[in-house]
Amino acid sequence: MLHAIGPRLGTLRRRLFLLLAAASVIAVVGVNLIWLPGALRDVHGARSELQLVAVRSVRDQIDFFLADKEEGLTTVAQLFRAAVIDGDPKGLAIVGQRFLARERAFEEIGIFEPPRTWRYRLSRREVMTSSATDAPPALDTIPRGRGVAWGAVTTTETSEPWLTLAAPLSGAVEGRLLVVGVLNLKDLWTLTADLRLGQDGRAYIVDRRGGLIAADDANLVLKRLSLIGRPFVRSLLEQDHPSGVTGSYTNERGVEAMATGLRVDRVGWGVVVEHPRAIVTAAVGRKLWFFAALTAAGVLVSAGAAHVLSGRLTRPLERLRLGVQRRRDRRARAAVQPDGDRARSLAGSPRGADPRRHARPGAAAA
Amino acid sequence: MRPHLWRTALPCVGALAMLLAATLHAAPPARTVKVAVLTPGLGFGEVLAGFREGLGQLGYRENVNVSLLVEDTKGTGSDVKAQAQALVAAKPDVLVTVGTSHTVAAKTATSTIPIVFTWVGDPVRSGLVPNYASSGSNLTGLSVYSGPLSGKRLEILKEIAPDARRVLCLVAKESIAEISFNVAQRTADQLGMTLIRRDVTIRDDIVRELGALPKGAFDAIYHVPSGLVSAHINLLIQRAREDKVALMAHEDEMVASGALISYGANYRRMGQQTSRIVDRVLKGMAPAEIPIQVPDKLVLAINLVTARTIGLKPSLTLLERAERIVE
Repeated sequence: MLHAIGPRLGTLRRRLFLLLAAASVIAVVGVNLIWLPGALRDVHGARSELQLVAVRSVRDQIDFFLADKEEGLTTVAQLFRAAVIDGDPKGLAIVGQRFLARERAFEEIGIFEPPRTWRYRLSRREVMTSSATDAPPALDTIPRGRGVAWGAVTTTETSEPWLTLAAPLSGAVEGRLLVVGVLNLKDLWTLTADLRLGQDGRAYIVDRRGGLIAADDANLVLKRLSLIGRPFVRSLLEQDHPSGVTGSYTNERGVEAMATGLRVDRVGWGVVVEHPRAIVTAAVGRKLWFFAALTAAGVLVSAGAAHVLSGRLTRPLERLRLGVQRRRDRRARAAVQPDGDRARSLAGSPRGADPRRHARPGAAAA
Repeated sequence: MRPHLWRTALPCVGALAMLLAATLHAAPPARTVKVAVLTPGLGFGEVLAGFREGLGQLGYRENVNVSLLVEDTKGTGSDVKAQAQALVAAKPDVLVTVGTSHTVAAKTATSTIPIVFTWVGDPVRSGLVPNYASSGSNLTGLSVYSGPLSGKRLEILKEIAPDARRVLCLVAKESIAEISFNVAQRTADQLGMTLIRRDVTIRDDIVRELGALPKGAFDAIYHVPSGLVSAHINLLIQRAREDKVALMAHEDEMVASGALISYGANYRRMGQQTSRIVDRVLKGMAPAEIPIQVPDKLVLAINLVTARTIGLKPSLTLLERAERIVE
């Protein structure tokens, strides 16, 4: 029984080591697995949150720009009113020219009487001839009360996006006259081009039909890109999401992108901030590397601890085995060392045995 | 210690690599690029000056990382085809052309070398490109928008000189001159003005036509945009001064030189804007991928000294709208 302890003890220690190591590894991996999904969620959440903050900021700046132009138009509507009531064409020209001199983003200003008559019209680039004056303003609806109506964005021959807006000229001719302004949206290009979002992020603006009207690169707008084919953009334009729309797509440069968008309610446009998906993937990759490194370190520490513990736990058994071994050895040595008399008697007998034990039974009787 | 060192070193190496990549992306090419320029010169000198200035701002240093091959036709259009071919034979990385006729010559000379044009009045109606969004060829550049603005200029001329009825127009044999004159003619009919057309093909024609018209034959001069007449604008300025009549030009440097009024783009700004397009082409963008651009800004300029000399008083609203007033 004791003879078998030696080889079995080695197996026992190994088993104990493996058991302890396995338990430790499971514990380390388990603990890491608890924080990892949360950390990965945080990466995505932080990205969405940052994009939402950025997109809100851009949306607010656009809204401020539009509100400023709306105020400019309503102010000039008041100034036009006196000249209209007096029937003073010179007065109209002075107000119109001063307006265009002051409001650089406006390309045209005019007074329109629905459905087809222009009372006055002034353009920065064109002479308003009779054929041009026949065309009604590009408005979807005629504004009622004191509100301002915003038309659809139109693209000029030179690919610039223009927007028509109109305000009623209250108090004149039963309020039927409208002051119509045409806004060049090129000013928005500076806003999107100068925006520094970091991590290769960029912002762009689409009109209510999905046409690109401002982007980090004005060339994209000049190419008259329409993004309505992008499901993300469609979803953004279809309904208002107060907390923004998030999604991913491959952009026009062929880059996989993750984006957050908000609608500009005043005009029904969409503002989008996007980042390359690789940026987010890299952040996830870093978390996974950290997880792997932490786990590897945990496994090494666990293995070391298991090694030490298995040694300590099997030490009494080892001592016992060594004790048994020593005792057996002593007994073996005692069995093979005879005293002097015994050695001599053994030397007298040729076979080293008691003669009586070797005598034949018949010889003794004779 | 070692893993810690690696953990510190790796992000640093990564950041350095990204910085290097960003620098390489933003910087002009390391090799010396060859840019050829075909210009009518003279009055257009400011375009080239602005172009050089713009290249400098983008990090290009002449004879260091960019060499400019300038072919100045000195206001004549007779040898422009041969000069364009000579520039193409030098195999430049980009060929920059100033004006419509020079661009047409360059387009005929090459269909492979990228051409960046500038100060082209109406690239679509001149047949250089099908639309502003993309040329679909080796052309891109800047339109000065002078064709569509021709009517507006005449309207402004009427505003500053209300008594002007007979207006002299020197029309060069260039597509942009023809387009601009047609637009001006339509406007003149509506404004009750009469345009006196004189066709010119070389500098001597301008001198001869101006000499042939006696004093009092016209009430104002309208500068119909063209490479030829723009290059020799001083002849028109001189005649307008002698006859004490208004001269409507299309660039504010001409006002600084003595023309009464102008409305349009600025030479130097156009040159700078052109350099940005050239930079894109040098960085590998195909010209067909770069839409045709229009001037950043239209400038109304008035020379009050000239106005006083010819006995005109610009209205308050006109002065309010003026971006540049020469006193």
